[in-house]
Amino acid sequence: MRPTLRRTSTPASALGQVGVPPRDAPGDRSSGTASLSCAALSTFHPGDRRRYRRYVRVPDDAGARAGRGAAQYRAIFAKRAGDDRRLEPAISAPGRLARGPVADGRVESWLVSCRCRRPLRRLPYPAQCTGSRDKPFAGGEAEGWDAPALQAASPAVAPWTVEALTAYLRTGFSAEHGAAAGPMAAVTQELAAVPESDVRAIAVYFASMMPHPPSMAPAQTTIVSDDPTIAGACEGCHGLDAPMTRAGAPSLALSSAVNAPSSRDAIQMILHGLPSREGHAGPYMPGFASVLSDPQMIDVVRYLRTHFSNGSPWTDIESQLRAARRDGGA
Amino acid sequence: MITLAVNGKQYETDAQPDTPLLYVLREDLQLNGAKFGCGLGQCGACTVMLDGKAVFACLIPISLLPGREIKTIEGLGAAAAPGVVQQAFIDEQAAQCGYCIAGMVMRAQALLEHNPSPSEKQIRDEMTPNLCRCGTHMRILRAVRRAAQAMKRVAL
Repeated sequence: MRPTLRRTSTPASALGQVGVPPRDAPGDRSSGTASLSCAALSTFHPGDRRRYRRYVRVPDDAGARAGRGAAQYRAIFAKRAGDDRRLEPAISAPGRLARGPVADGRVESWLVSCRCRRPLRRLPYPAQCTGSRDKPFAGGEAEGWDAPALQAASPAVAPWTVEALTAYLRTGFSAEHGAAAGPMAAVTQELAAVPESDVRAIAVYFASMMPHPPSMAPAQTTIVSDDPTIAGACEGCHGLDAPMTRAGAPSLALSSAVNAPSSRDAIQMILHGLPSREGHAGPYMPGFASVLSDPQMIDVVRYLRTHFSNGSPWTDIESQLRAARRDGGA
Repeated sequence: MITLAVNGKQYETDAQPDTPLLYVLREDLQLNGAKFGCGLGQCGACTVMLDGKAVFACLIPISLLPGREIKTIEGLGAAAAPGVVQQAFIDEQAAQCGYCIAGMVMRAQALLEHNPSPSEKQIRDEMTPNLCRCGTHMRILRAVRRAAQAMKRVAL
């Protein structure tokens, strides 16, 4: 018995390239995570902010114009510049950054120093998120999630372009990578209130450090499975021509979580989903923690890695699953 | 054949193993309380309880379910003898069109079985996945609070 109300089918030819939805697709749904982390932006405590206001001249109307996130952002970045000049002349010049952000060194020093200089070192996790002093932006763990590397070791299958990064940082969603999840979801909520030119400057900087063209070709692009679990629980959204893919969500083959070195983010995502966030539009996925037993979870995760990634098989599934079950949702 | 334990009874179904539980409930077992809304786990109209937890029946292939305990709204009570949570929803007149209500009741039931004294925030967080397009959310929240009080009285 196969009920007919399940889904309608649209020929792949009508959808353009499979797995890469058209750019104008109304995308707000996702598969997989694509965490890109500068968690300092979201974990700037109100106390720190007040302290900063004493010696960093934040534009008086910054909060009114762009919300609290912008004020935090300006405070952090203006201070990183080593003086209290206004932020705009320093960072809102993508052309200048594009000419040589790494050689220029300023953006790097601002971001790296988020984790090691007073008083921002009290922030809970930017160091883990973005790497270590020796390996800046090499990725790390934050609140039970893996933050992927933001440099040459980036696991992204599709290259992170300036456009894609800017959109991702401002919306929490990328049609070629997936959705912001875990602590990164809050970061993107904050960045939504920051002027686009500033977010673009961050994007220019990080895009310049990540590989172009991609290091891997995508694996399989669609779910067509005989596995009843995959067919019944995943295909309805992630299958060929499923509503999610037509709404702009990337193929699982492009998902940063599925292609990551560790199974941690994929497991977090399947167990706990992408929760709705009160007052914020954004990607959503239901969690399966109450549905899938541990052996069923392991089967699903193995299936995803085998069928949707060219990466080597994950060897950490059992341990990551235990940890994610123990810690609950993010 | 796959055996399902629904509301304390055993049912056998010859449906394909990847068939979502919702379709088997509605079409094979004639348990039509759970509704088809989106089929994507986004609206909550199909919410049932699986081993005491609220889940979306539209996203669960029946192959996962042998050995597990399913409860639908039919398992809570009937029109003549409503369960405690159902009665609270009636008393608060929480339904407008009513399409979402079976799912709302099941999610509230799961919440209150797990946490008999939820805070307002816990109620709102827990009920978040279930949508009501009529907009009776305030009545639904009142019904959940009333149900919590009523369940305590029953327990005393």
